Amino acid sequence: MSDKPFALIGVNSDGDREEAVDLVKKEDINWRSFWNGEDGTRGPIAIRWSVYSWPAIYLIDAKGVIRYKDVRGAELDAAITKLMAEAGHEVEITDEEEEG
Amino acid sequence: MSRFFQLALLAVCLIGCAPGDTVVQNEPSENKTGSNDSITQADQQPDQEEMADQKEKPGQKEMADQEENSKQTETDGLETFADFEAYFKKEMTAYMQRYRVAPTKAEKKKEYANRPMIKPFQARLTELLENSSVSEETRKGVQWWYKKARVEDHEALVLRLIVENFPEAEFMEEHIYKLAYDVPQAEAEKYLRSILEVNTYDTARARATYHLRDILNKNVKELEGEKAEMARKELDALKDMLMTKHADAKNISGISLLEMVEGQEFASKLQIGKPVPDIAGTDLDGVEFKLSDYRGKVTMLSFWGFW
Repeated sequence: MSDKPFALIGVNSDGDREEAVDLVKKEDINWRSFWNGEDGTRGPIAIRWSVYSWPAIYLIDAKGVIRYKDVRGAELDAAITKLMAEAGHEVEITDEEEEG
Repeated sequence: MSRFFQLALLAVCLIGCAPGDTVVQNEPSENKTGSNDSITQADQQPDQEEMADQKEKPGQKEMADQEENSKQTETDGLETFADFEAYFKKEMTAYMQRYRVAPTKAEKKKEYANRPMIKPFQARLTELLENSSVSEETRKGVQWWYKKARVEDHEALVLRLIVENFPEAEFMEEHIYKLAYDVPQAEAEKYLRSILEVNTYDTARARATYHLRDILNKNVKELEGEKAEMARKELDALKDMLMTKHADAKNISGISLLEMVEGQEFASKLQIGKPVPDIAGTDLDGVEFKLSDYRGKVTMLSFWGFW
């Protein structure tokens, strides 16, 4: 979906930044992430956002409004498809795209 | 405090000490038959209560045996919180010893049923509290009494007595957070307001302000129209108070009260249908960026890690 107005942004909560960078390369992860700092899951962004169970997901529409929280699997695919359609883009999500 | 009020409090406590609720922390750990024992104990409490409450009418209750008689004489001399504390410490040690050496399960059970309890002394401790002045001794005394009462599951009653008698005390700062847990919210609100009226100590005022705001904040969702607006105004005023007068104040665990308020306000923004708050930070390569850089795109924000 790289040609479509969609962004996957992470908040990475690995306390060891070097190790996370290595793993990102190794696992070929292509999304950009904020680093949550040395405190890992208790870092400042996660604390601020009251994230206590991981992973946590927020889906934000093209206007910047929170539309879904913690959706997974088929529900997540459907939600993304819906928000993309609202923004005027018909997309079909495959698992491959979602993973990477 | 009026006699009627004392009896009313007593009634509240007896309800609060329903058998099913009784905690068994007093029981030495090797005993695994606790729950039945605690029911027996709780069932006996009304009698003990009566005895303690009507102690000024001597002779009206028959003592079970010689040992009870001598115990009664011994407790007659208790005049200060420190006296009570020392007495209970001694009694508890003796009880633990008796429990340990009791040869059979049945005898252990009997010892447990007769373990030292503070509740029968409630009327005397209340009188003592009402005749105490604000002092370090009183501070220690009420801390001790509260802890004991918590083990016996009537801490709300003790907390009420502390708050009603010493809203102006500096040591109230140690009890304010308990109001939120121990007594119903409407009552807690009333007590917090009474503390704010008379207490002049920074930490106590800050904590009362925080908890009053917290209670109002929970209630505001159920209000409508003018009432809701007034409540919101008060919420703002209380936050303003924290910001201007108590910016450095912390709760009993050392967490900043103002930060807690701001955290709650932030969390309330994270609702479906609300604009997403921005995040500004650095990526894994150390490059600064913002979530809002991606405005105009459908965005999936995922809190993740390799772990």
